[in-house]
Amino acid sequence: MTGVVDTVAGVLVVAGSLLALLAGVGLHRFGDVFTRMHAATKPATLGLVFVLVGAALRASEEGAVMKLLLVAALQFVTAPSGAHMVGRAAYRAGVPLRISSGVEELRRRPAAEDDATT
Amino acid sequence: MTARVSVVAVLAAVWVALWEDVTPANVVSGLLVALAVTALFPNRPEPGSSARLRPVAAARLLGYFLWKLAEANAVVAWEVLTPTNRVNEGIVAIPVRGMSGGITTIVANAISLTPGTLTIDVDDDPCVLYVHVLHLRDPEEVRREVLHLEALVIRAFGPADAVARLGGRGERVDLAPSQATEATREEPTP
Amino acid sequence: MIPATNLAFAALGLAALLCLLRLVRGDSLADRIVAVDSLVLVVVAGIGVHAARTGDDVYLDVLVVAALLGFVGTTTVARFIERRGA
Repeated sequence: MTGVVDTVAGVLVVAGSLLALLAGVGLHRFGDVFTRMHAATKPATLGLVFVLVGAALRASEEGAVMKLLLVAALQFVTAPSGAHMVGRAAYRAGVPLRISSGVEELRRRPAAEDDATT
Repeated sequence: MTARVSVVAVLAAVWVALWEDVTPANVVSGLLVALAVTALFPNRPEPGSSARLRPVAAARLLGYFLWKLAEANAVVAWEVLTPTNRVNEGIVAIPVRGMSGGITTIVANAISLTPGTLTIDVDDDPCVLYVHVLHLRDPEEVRREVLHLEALVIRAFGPADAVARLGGRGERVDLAPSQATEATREEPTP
Repeated sequence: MIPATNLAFAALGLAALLCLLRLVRGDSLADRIVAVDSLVLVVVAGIGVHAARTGDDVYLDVLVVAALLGFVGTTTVARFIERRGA
């Protein structure tokens, strides 16, 4: 029984780490901030969750399991929120953006205008 | 009121998890801290009817979300690992129903974790999400998918009258494009 | 478990290196913050792998704090970019 659990934990840990590596490679394969954020949010989040679940399977105490799962749950909230904040800031600050499809249905607004309200 | 109860419950659960042990003292101190925090930082009540949790619809949303998360990773992995560059970026404006801040937040966050889309900006009143798309083929397709996602979120957490306005009980109401866009045009004026 | 975690550590090390490279090369402040954010995630994942390898839960508090500080840092710099530009 523990053999099976350990194997699953090992597979999860390795898969999660490879997803993190994928995010790292994505940071270099993509051409602008926004596409890089695609790489940084999705695989990195799922990768971390895999690793944490793998660690939780191996943890000896229930308390450690609770803590690991808490971080995994928080990750689903913080990762997209953080990406949204950075994306909005970068867009408003005028960071170079590639639009190969030509569809850009958002106009750049001056950042100062919004500062008063937030 | 019910909103505060659920916030207190979640905060107390986080507190207990951080102490790594479920003891009466931890639960009581967690509840006290959660009550203090919610008293110090009260949540502004949102106008409109109250939210609720429907377990079956929430489970369906969770399943859809997890499936899309796996798909998202496959899409990014494929794009990163294959030498050909099929990236075709675009930013699409998506007018959503904008039921409440909470629902829009869940939708915006879920978009960032679903395939090839990332929320960049949000407009209030009328509620519009601006989404960066990695492989853009058809803006309408993206809009339809996001509205479908929002319908799932409303079914899981939204107030009863909002669910009623979604129409039929089948979950595929948003798949007809004309119907979807018309629904959003009507929603912002309750 | 040990060979699996060795492989995991190798992958995470390489990922951290790639994040650092992006951090140095930047292009813009936004690229750098995305890189730092990923780097923090790699560190948190590394602590998780260590916990899975040894069954040791001493570092789990560090893991929680690092994950949350990563988010706070990202948010703070995002607001800075919005005010001052990238």
